[in-house]
Amino acid sequence: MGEALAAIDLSASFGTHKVLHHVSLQMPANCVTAIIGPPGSGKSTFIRCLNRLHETVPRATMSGTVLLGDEDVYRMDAITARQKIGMVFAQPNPFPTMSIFENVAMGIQLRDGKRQTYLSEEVERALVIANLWSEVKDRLKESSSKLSAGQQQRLCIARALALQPAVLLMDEPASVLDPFSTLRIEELIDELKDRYTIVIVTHNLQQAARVADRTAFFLAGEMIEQGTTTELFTTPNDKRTEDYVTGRFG
Amino acid sequence: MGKQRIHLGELLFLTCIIGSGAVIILMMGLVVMQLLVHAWPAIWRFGPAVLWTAKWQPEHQIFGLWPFIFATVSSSAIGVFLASVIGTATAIIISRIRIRWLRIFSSGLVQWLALIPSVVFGLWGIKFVAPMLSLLIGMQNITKRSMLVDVEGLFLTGLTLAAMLLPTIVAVTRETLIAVPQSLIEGALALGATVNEATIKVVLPYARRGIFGAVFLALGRALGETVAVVMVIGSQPKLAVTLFTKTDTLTSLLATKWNHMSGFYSQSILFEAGFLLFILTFIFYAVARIYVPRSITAARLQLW
Ligand SMILES: Nc1ncnc2c1ncn2[C@@H]1O[C@H](COP(=O)(O)OP(=O)(O)OP(=O)(O)O)[C@@H](O)[C@H]1O
Ligand SMILES: [Mg+2]
Repeated sequence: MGEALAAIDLSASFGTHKVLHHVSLQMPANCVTAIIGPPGSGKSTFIRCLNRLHETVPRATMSGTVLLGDEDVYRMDAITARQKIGMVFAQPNPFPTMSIFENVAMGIQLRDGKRQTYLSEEVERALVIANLWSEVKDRLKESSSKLSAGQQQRLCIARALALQPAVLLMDEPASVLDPFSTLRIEELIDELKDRYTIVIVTHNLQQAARVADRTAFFLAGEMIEQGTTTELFTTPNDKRTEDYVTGRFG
Repeated sequence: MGKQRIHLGELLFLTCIIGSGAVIILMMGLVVMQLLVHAWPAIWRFGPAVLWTAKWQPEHQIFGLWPFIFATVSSSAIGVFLASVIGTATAIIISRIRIRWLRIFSSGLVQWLALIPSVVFGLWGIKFVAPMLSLLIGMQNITKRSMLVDVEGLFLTGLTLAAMLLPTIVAVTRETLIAVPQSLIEGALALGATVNEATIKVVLPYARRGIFGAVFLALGRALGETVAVVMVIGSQPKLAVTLFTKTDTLTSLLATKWNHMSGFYSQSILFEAGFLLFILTFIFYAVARIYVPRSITAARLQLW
């Protein structure tokens, strides 16, 4: 089951360049929260703070609190945090030297050790949830680079889900995909939210409107406004939000 | 008029390119021809047996090349093995340095070290490593009269070659390592991999062709290395029965004997040794060519 994620007073920098200023945001359990905003507004940096990937960048620093349920993400081990909070990137990035099976098994093997009797079961489960099983079940040993871009992205989703995380972070997961593959990813997100808390960054306002229960608007490293998606799109409180969602902005 | 001139220029350009290309190919062909022509009497007279004959007695017209083939391949293997293991590890460390100026400094340093002439490494081997090795081994044989023993031979040559090859292997490997997409590394980290696990499971497999290629290119260079080898191999034309027996490689044989051997077949056999070297390096170059990404081969071959 998904768990609620909360960012409290989050700030982040690259060296001396501050890119995120005191952002607080609740991401309720089993909800899809969309993060929208113009390029460079700090959306990626924000979600990369949530799974502690931000700190792997040289000279990157952050402050503030991230809570998963009632646990402080920055008090647990970074590895554990990343196992509980999965991530899917904009560019599909399956490991090209590994087979389809190995890609999905990777997280489990890192966590539980090499040979586990339940490994193939778990891999199948993850691929089924990611709606990829029927397409790859006969070619699990083939290289992951032989899949189409859309399939690769679903493989990356399966790879993240194999660890049974509480949260799935997606950074523009459909930005390089064709409309059909995008639709499949959106349908998948809809199915997944029963089981996972989902945070999705998107440039595409229609996409946010289609998939998200709640939406937050970022601008220049600040969280300007948040609310249910309907509220934010129809009756925004802030002028800047209104400009952005009506397309009068950037 | 203008049209005419462009036409003429193009023609001239084309002639130059084709001409110089032809000259190069012709010259290479001539070199190989020369080698073969001069080696032919020995090949004809002694047959393939020279490849496995271990005796080298020019005064009795006995010419076995096996000791030199063996020394060439085994000293290169020792050198390349040591350099690959240490070099890959070093490249991983360098590619992971997070401090910008240190990263730039160290990669520059390595590339510069790769340009140091091999004779310097030979000097280092004989003047610095040899006495230390000699002392180390001498201390174990304390019963012997002298503390200092001779250490010239395959092992010292291997060490010297390793030192010489190390910077190149580090430089090439580092290049292939930093070419691994950051998104793959982050993909692994996001699955709960440590940086080490990401390196072993994702980075090294992705870079394996480049690393393999670097190793084979280094092997080609080790096989052909002459000056540094002459300084540390001991220069005795006999089969190395231990790692510390003075011996000769094909290259050191050629470099040290061409002036001292007279007689028709003595000369001819040296050309045959040269021809063998030519074939050996060709084999390893071909393997390297298959494995190294093309761009890296091209860049590195200019450097070498
Ligand atoms: N690795 C980095 N090093 C230095 N600065 C960075 C780095 N990554 C991002 N930035 C800077 O941080 C700011 C926010 O970037 P971020 O990627 O979070 O924006 P974004 O909202 O995700 O943009 P986009 O919509 O284009 O993906 C930008 O000004 C960017 O230049
Ligand atoms: Mg982004």
